Amino acid sequence: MTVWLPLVAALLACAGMLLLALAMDRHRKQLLPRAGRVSRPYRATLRSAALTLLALSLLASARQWGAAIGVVGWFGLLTIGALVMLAWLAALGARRHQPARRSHNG
Amino acid sequence: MKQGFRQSMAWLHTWAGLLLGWLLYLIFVTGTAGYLDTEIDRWMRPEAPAASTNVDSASAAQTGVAWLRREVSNGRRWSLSLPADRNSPYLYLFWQDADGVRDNTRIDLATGEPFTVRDTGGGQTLYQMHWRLHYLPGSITDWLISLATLFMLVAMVTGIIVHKKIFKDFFTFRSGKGQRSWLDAHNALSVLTMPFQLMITYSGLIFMMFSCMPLIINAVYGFDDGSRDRFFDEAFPSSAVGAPAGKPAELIKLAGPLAEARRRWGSDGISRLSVHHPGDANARIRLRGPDARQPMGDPPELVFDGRTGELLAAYGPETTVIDATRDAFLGLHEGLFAGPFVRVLYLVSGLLGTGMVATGLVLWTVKRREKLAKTRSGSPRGLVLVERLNIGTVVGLPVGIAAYFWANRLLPPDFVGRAAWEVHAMFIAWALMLTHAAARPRARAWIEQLWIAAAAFALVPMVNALTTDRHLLNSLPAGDWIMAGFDLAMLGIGLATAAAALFVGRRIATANPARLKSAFDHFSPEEART
Repeated sequence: MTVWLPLVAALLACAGMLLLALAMDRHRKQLLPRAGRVSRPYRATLRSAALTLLALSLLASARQWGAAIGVVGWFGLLTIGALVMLAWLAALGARRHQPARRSHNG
Repeated sequence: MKQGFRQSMAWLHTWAGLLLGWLLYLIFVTGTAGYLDTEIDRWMRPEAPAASTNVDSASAAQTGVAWLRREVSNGRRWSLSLPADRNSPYLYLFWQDADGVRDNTRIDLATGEPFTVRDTGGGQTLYQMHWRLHYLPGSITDWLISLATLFMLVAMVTGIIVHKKIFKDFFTFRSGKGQRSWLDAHNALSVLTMPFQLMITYSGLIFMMFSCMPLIINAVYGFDDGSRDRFFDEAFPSSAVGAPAGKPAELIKLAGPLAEARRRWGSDGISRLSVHHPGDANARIRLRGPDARQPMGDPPELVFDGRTGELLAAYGPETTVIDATRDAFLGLHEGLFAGPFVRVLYLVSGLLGTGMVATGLVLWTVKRREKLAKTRSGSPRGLVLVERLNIGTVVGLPVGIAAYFWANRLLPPDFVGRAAWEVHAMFIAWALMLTHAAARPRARAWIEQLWIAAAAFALVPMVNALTTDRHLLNSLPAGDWIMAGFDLAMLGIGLATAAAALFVGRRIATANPARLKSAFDHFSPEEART
């Protein structure tokens, strides 16, 4: 039992969700306004990388809490990861609605 | 009437969700609080000594039995719940005396004597509303809870069917767009917590299965009065202890059985000890092994002869597949096995589920309001009713819970029926909030109630500071995380609610006047009454 292992599992879940969002055109544009559309093979690579990170998160959970409770905890971490991503994207979306202010800053 | 599959599912989702939505909201709120039941218990009993976890369970058992031998020597049965972890922080004794009257007390391990605490419902009463509600007999609440759980499952499944873009909209929340935003929020809360919500709802039904499907028992065991008891005896055999012999006999010293249990389960492994017919020739000593370390499986049990100390039976943790499946679902639902980190995840999932129900309820009114505003026909009566119930419940029920905590600190210690009045305070406050919601214009009602809730929660640490010594200025330096955590959580809820009140207030102030007109004034309650 360590303190950092659950945090690693949580970060892996967040990172996995970030890659999943980057593989989606709408969110890719929000996160990387200057990047173009993602090609099909690149999208597949992003998604596999995302799934790998999520699987690693499951492994970290299982190592921390044992297989049975690890799975329970992992589902909770997926929720947290997706929620962090959703909040981030929503904040980006809200900022885009105020282009005037943004150009002043930039 | 001809309509598509998805439309019928949408209809079912709307009405299954709405009809028992407020009850589901109460179930979610109290259930979420239940993940912190013993922490709330301890805040509500500030006189209690520090928790006695990490103690040797065998020596705690000796302390408890010594007290029972002295005070309840001729009792019918003694039971000791031994301190282990957050789930049972104290040595808890309960017994039946010679006349069969039940009583209980908690023992301070430092002194070996009971400690007196205020008469309070604690976190347990709050948690029990999750499946027992309050004021109603079990025969009614079992059905209400079963029905609500069933509706919840229907709403989950139909919701998944109706939601067309689960993956495409996975990370989507568009703010400031009226109905669209509410739908996004409802979808996000439901989809992101879907594994938890499906698990919690399905396992909730498993909890209620003997109420939901009583006829299955009757089909096998008959319809007579004793049929259910016969079923339970067979389905959940308890280690039989037999009747007393009627001949007195000295109860053996417990060191032997405790040492045997310790050898099998470790020094902190005994969760419960009970002695049946102490002082009788047929006395039996039952010891139960570690509880709640895994979601599955009953704890092992040992039964000893109380006169000779002979080990009569050892029940293993193994069960049938069906029993283990049920245990796994119930275990997952209660999450007793969860350590601090997983417990936080349970708590977050519960809160998000609460938000899911609340946004669903609000979404119903937003949709209906926009539709009515567009067509300018149809009766707004149902809408007004639902809106008022939403305000008075979504904000009003939490205010009631804050009142429950206030009452715990403010009612005098010798107040007759103190614990009952704590609960009355909760329901009185909730009723007042419902009345307020009915009396005020809709937008004002939301803002005012949010401010009331913000004050009610944020002031809890202050009420605690004025009435006890275990306030933040003491609990924080002392590292008393139960008390400090509770106070900080109350402060956090208060601040979050204040932020919500500011947000709603600003939204209404800056909203486009035409939209404001249609959104807030078009259907006033006065108009609805005419």
